[in-house]
Amino acid sequence: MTPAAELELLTRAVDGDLSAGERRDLRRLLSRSADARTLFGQLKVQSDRLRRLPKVSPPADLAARVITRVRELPPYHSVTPAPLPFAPPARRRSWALLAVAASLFLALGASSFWFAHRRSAANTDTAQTGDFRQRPANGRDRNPLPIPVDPVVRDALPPEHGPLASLPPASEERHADLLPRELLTPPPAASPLEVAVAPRPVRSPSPDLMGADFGRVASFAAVRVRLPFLTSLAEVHDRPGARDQLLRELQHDTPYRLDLFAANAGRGLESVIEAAKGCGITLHVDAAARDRLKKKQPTTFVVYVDGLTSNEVRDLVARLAADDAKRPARAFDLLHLTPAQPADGKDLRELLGLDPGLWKRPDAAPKAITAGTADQVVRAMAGGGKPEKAAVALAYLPANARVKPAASKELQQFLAKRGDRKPTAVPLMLVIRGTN
Amino acid sequence: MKNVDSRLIAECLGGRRDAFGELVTRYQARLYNAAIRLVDNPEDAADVVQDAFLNAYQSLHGFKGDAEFFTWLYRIAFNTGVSLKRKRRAVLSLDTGGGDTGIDPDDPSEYVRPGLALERTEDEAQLQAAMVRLSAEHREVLVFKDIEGLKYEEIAEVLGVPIGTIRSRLHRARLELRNLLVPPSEPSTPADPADALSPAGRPGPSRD
Repeated sequence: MTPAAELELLTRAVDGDLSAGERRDLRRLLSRSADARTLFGQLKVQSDRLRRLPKVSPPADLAARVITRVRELPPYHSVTPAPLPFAPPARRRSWALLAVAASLFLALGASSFWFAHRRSAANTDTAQTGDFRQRPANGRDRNPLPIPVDPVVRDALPPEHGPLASLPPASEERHADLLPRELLTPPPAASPLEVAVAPRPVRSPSPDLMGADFGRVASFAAVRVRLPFLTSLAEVHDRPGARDQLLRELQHDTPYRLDLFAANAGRGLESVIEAAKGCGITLHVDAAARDRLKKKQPTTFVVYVDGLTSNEVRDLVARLAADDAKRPARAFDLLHLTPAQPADGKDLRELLGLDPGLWKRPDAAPKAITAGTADQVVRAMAGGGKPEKAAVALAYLPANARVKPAASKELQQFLAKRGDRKPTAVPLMLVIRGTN
Repeated sequence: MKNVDSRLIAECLGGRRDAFGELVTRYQARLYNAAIRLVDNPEDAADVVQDAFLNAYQSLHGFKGDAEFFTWLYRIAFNTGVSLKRKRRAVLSLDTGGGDTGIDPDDPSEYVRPGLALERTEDEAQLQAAMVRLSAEHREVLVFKDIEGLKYEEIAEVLGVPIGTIRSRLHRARLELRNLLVPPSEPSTPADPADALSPAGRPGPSRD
């Protein structure tokens, strides 16, 4: 055995990748060579050290970042039909062959049935109409008796209908004594003759091969794919069409998640606070979030509001866009509006400490006034204004920046003022995040 | 595990993006742990993981299910890491005009940031420093075999090379690492021959 082969034997032994014969070789090598024993020991120790290296945890927001990016991509059913996963190709091929064979067999059977059905229908029609042109002319007629044919009919037949044309004329004289007199009068005039077999009634304008009617076939229609609404905040300000489109997107009777991408999420939150104030919304900013804002710690913030109508949400975004346009350097970049997902609902439950009931439909029927609503009315009457629209801003990511809901005074204030959701209100989860 | 992955993939292909989120949650830690050993810093590792998941999502319909999802994901991450390193190298050479940068890519201090060095034991730091100095090919096989506990077949699948190549790379990688860790003059304890004779060898690291 060469030294190179011995070395390989030692390294493979570390992985336990030896056959019985190789293990015998290794045993011999280790028993005769101290160097081999030393090297083997070193390799084993270093492999164990590698194995014991501590696991490095990923950044806390890595999964959230990935999931957010995935959400920006279209879901699968709108892009590619989902194949059957994990079906072995050979199995699929055999099914395809079977399907082709079955189709051919079915087509053959159907056409045979159609042919036989047509023949029998034709014979029945012939018997009913007295038209015998289709009788076999080979002398093997099942009715050997001479058949009376009207002379007019016989004359009208083309000469190629030899056997029929040669049939004896109907002898009216033979039955003259049996028939009433009025029936013996000749027909008034030579009316157009129906010498052809009447077509079978068609039950459908588009019968299939077997004459069956499968009803109306629905026409194919293009599938409308609804893409998430993605635009820049500048566009919302500059183009009225974008605001209209935003409003239309907000009118689908579903809770929404609106991601606002800002160069600096902290500045973004400050802008949202100003815009909310301008729209008459009281934004309760959690103290921990405010603290992170003050310390300029990288944070993704979330604002939750469920007392605004779609028009009011549109106005809030428009106000934000208008304020942003006035600044020398815009704070915001893109906005991305999607229907809220169950994961968003879960996050909100954790953040708010209760289920905000994103997908619950508010009861439109009148009901007893809750204490919160009564308080709002009292406050509004005392202040002489409309009931307050409340929202709350919290730190969202990183996850360790979140506070326990019970510990947030501002959150509790928001929940106390929140009251019942109006049927026209749109629950909104506004996420303000940095672009990097 | 494969059944759960299969179900989640099928759901994702059926339009439920949250199912892919579950796959991300399931595998991000393991993928990141491998990525950070392969690339030179935590930021790049996070980028590799993020890009790998996005690429995986976009190619999910092409996943045949004949390999484990995680092996497939590893392969994507590995290719992503290679592309990233290539890009970084190109940017570096453009920035410096291709001259001497004064930056030695094999310098362990580039990976071992001051903050991390304080947290890591001397032993780990020494091992990690040696790993960084290995060639990329050797580092990859050691990470996949010893740290991630993949089988030869799986490593071959991830790296797209025959099993024989994996065996020989692993052999050279172990010797190279040993040369980096053990100074030539240092004596070392001979191994117990009985340890080598177990048919299964040592148990690999747990794979979930």
